[in-house]
Amino acid sequence: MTGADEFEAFVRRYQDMVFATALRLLGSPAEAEDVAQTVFLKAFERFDQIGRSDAAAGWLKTATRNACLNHLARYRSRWRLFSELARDEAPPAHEGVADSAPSPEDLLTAAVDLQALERALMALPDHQRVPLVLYHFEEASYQDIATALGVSLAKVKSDIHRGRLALSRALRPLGPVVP
Amino acid sequence: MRELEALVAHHLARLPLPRAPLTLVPRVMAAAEAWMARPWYRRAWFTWPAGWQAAAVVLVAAMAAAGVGILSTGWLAATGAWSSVAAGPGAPLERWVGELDAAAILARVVWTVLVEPLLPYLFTVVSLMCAACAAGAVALNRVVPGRMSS
Repeated sequence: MTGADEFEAFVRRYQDMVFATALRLLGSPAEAEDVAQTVFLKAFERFDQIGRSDAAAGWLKTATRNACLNHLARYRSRWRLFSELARDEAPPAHEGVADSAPSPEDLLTAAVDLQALERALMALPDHQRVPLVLYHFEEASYQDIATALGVSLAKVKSDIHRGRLALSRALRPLGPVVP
Repeated sequence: MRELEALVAHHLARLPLPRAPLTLVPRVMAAAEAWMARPWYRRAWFTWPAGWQAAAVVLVAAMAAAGVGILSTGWLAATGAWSSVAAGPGAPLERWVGELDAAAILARVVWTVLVEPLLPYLFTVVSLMCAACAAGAVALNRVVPGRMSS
């Protein structure tokens, strides 16, 4: 197997993981593909060290996460402005799922429309989606997220809560809820 | 609140992993080939040949030392000029010229004591590294192209 074949196999092995991480953080397939390409090119530059390393997946995850945060900071300078403005647009924190909607207990056991959930996740504003994804998919702590995004701990908690509320509204059972 | 967190976490964990588009692998491979086609000095520093990395470090250190020397000399000259001006219009011109002379002497001392003795060694090291890198590059040219083109 030549170096090129080896690297291509490496890309094929990890492409879904890298792309999924980038897509969920950026919310845009085109931007996620750009970032994934950048990350794999960085991996290519260090392929002698990480190509056969057990830590390759971890390295790629961290590199993708950092590249996405850099991308958001560089190309979306409105991030913080909108992040602050959106505080008033979002529903208040105590507002939960509407009374007519299924209860959380029902939703926990019911088969829900996962595509609708994925769409709702992608539709969240950056300042809610990014901390939510870092918390639920990247298993980062609230404090780590606050540090990475350069915002207060309270804001991270508030944004994640609002994001969860928005997602819970998208959760609808596919069929009738079985008690 | 915990209930909501558990509910969202439960369903998010069940989301299928989005698949990468079919265009990603060709794009990455094309970018990698373009990277390989670039001359080594247009790539990231840590991918340079070891000799050139060392030469770059030496060069940057020499430039930093020269910069510090120039700045300190300039600072001394500026301080001397300012103290002459601050002394008022009646200050003797000779004193200002004397300050400049002192600064020039200091610069000459720094050059003679710190920089000049190192120049031959620096020149020799950089020349040797250039020769080693040229030899390395010739050798690599015979080996590396097979990596991406095959």
